[in-house]
Amino acid sequence: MKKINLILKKELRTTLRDKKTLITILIPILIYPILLIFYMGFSQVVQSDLTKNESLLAVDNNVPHDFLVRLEDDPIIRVSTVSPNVDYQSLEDINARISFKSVKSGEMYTVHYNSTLEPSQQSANRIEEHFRDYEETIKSTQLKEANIDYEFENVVTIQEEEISGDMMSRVIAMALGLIFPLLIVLYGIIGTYTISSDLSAGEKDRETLETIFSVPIKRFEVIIGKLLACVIVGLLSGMINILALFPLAYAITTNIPELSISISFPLFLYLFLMLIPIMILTSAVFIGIGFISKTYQESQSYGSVLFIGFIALCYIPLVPNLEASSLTLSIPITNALLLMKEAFLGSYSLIDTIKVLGINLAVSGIGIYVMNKLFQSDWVVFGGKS
Amino acid sequence: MIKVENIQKKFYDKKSGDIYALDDISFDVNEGEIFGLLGPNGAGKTTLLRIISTIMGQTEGNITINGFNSKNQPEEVKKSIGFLSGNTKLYKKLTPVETMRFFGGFYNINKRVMNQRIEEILSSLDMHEFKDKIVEKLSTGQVQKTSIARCMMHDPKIYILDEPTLGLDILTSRTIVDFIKKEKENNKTIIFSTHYMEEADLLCDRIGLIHKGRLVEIGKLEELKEKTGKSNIRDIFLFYIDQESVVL
Repeated sequence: MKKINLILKKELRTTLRDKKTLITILIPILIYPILLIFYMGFSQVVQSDLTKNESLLAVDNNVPHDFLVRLEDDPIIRVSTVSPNVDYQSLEDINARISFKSVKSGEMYTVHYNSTLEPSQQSANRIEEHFRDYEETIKSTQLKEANIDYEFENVVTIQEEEISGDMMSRVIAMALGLIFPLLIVLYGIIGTYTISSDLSAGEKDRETLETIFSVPIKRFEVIIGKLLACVIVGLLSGMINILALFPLAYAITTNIPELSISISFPLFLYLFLMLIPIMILTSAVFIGIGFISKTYQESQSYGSVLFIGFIALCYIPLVPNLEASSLTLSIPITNALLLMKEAFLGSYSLIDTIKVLGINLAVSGIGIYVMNKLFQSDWVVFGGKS
Repeated sequence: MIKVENIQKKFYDKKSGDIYALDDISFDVNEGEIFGLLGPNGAGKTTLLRIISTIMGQTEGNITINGFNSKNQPEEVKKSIGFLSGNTKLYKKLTPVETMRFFGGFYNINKRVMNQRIEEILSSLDMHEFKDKIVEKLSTGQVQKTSIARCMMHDPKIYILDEPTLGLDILTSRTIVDFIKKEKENNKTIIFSTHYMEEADLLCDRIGLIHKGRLVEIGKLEELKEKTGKSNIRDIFLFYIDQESVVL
């Protein structure tokens, strides 16, 4: 164990001194907070604009006085009266216009606004609120004059209750439950892919394998030390991603309280647990490929094909209506992502978790076995040069 | 000290079938002796030294080093030897001190002895100036000194040196030659391969000539001169290579 530890420490030390690897691992720390700042800043700006900005309204001078006074009393509405003959397009800096005509049934108002412009849409909404109040006041006065109880209108009362919760919130929760684990796993795989070629084919290129084989250490110990280094970098990459995502996920769930997602420590612990076998599997495969390859570039080329294969497995859970089933839970990597999604939605299954961990660890075991077999061959390790 | 018996190394190639990199090689090296292995490129020197060092396994034959069998006790063999070759590269992101500490860690050397050993080697090879610079920033000579330091860490009884001066300039080569001479004074056993005839002439007690995977002659330089009637090692070498070509 001491020798494996020596290899592991050396690999980590040399890996973390490599700027390329460091940048790859640390990118999420930079990207997610920037995204978070944008998200927070943007929503704050939008919110403050919407609530504080004044609505500039052009109101035809034939609009009834009672309604006009209502608008003028609103502190965030500024009214300019215009002649009904003036064209709306010619009015500058106006968010909306109200025109009026009397009809047989009563008063008819037309609101002109541009729905593609947020201030214009906001002004139309404010006008609508005033219309509702104004209409209620008129109705109430007329009913009172006719000596009819105002409540007679409410013959039927309808109360709606959505038993599946807010649909939109659920859709957002599902999307986050798919995207967050996908990002975490993808980043972990990128971490293992980044350093595996360096640990295997890179050693061949630099001709340092002969050096390490000249000391009293078994090849199996060398390979396990390398595998652990690769797994740790993958996990570190995934962990950094989880930690960097935390504020973003927290901000989203705080801003949308109806979301059925609980961002908690056990959730992150669960994500981390599910990530471990995936990192072992991808590390073993990438390192194995690295040893078969004659050069670092060759290893990167073969690795990129496998990388696409792993990404494909990661994307399977995005298929609409795909749920955890015996079939989907037997597909390595995909199974873990499906359970991660369930965990995001607050649903944990101990049996499925054990099953998925078992399947992924078994496949990883096969990967390690093959990798070790390759590493025992002089022909593979010394690239056939001898 | 080193007993090599009937070593054969066979590789399989899809196109060519079985390839014999080494065929029936046998020789002994005594304690305190410098044994030179001479041969042209591709003769099998590197493969033979890798097999002796247990870096690579043999197809047939036995090797005993310091009383340990290379097949059954590879770790004990590795503890007895220090392996260095012209191709032995170091980890570029480690400093010389970290390199020594890393490789020393495999020999169960306790911390106090390790620190003392590092200090001794740094002084003897004059490495203090660059001991904390990472290897990729060192000059060729400084890298080669670090390589020597690496294989000296466990104070081995035997050194196996595969073309240690290959591609080095005259000053850097001198560091290696001085190191070999100094270790000879310390009664260390050394096998080294080279195709620099003058080097072999200068350092070796006995010489083995290897060609196309076979050991074609072995003996002291004087004995070989007498046998072949040649006055220098270069001519002796060419004599045997020509003779082998005629036979083959």
